[in-house]
Amino acid sequence: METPRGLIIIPCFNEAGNIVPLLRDLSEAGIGLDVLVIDDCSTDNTFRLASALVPTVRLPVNLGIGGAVQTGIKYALRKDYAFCVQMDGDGQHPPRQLSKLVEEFARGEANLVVGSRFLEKSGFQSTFFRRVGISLIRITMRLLTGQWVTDPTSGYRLLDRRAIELMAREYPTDYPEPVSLVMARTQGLKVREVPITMQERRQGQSSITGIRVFAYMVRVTVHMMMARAKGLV
Amino acid sequence: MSHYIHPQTAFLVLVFLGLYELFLLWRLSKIEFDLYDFFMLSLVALVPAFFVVFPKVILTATDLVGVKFPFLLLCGGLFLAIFLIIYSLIRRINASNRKIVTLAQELALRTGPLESVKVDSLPPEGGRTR
Repeated sequence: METPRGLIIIPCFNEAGNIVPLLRDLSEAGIGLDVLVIDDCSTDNTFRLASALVPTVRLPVNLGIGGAVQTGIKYALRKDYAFCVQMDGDGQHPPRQLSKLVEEFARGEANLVVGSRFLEKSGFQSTFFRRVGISLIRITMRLLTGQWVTDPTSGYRLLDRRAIELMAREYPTDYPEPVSLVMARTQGLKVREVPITMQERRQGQSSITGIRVFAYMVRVTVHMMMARAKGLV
Repeated sequence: MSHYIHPQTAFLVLVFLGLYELFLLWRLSKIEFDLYDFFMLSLVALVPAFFVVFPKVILTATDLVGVKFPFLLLCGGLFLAIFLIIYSLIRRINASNRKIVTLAQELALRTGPLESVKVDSLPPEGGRTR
């Protein structure tokens, strides 16, 4: 039986310090999947460094994480990949744990497989404020979709063909990770989680820190409600 | 209650309407906006002009709505006109945003790599052979 073709999508913005070590780690992990880097109009050397190692798509303007990921999903759709895996370009998503997502997909019971750092509570667990905010999003997800997702903001996820077709057509530009889960559940897609251990980002700093996380999480919650309402119309 | 429009007021409002419409027509001829925008922008001058040209209609409407002063109706009319303009702008900005995102993605995908490669086959330090 032919092994389904899979694509790893790595969206990047100014990850010159992280992208090469990540790609080397992926190579050493022996995953056996294709890889595509999406450079979201970085202003540093990300494109030059990445394109020297792997095929890299460079966006002409910065579209944000949602636009960059959707670019990769569209590529996966056009090249007839059976599934694609999204992983961040900052080194937080360990390549060796990618096989857990693929194994869950191979069971054939999920359209989306999300790598959750909270199922086994190991590795980098994020800051206190973020964890509180994620709890709020978790509760909102449960109320809107009926499903309890422990890590709705995880960007380490696998999409099967059906999810690829949905999200190539429509993918949220604002707060894409949790909102896309609401979209998927509204369309009847099955979401499963697997435990993974995330790492702290190698270099750089998150732009959402401290008390601002609360405002961010409230905005995320509102967008999730809008996605659900849109699905009902 | 009688409703008297002072001739000077009517004159000023109509002169403003005339000059404003001429200005909009001039900008329209430069294709700075389309006919729909022309109509929406005209509303801010047409609403007061309607008040001075048809005072009896306004008086009846004032009684129907239940406000004491026609000026309140004028304010409400202007507010509605501005709201319609803003609503139209927001819809079009969002539509343009979606088109920009799609355009940028298509441009990147069409000028980008034709095929991806297996991650296990990275070139050694020193770069990829294209």
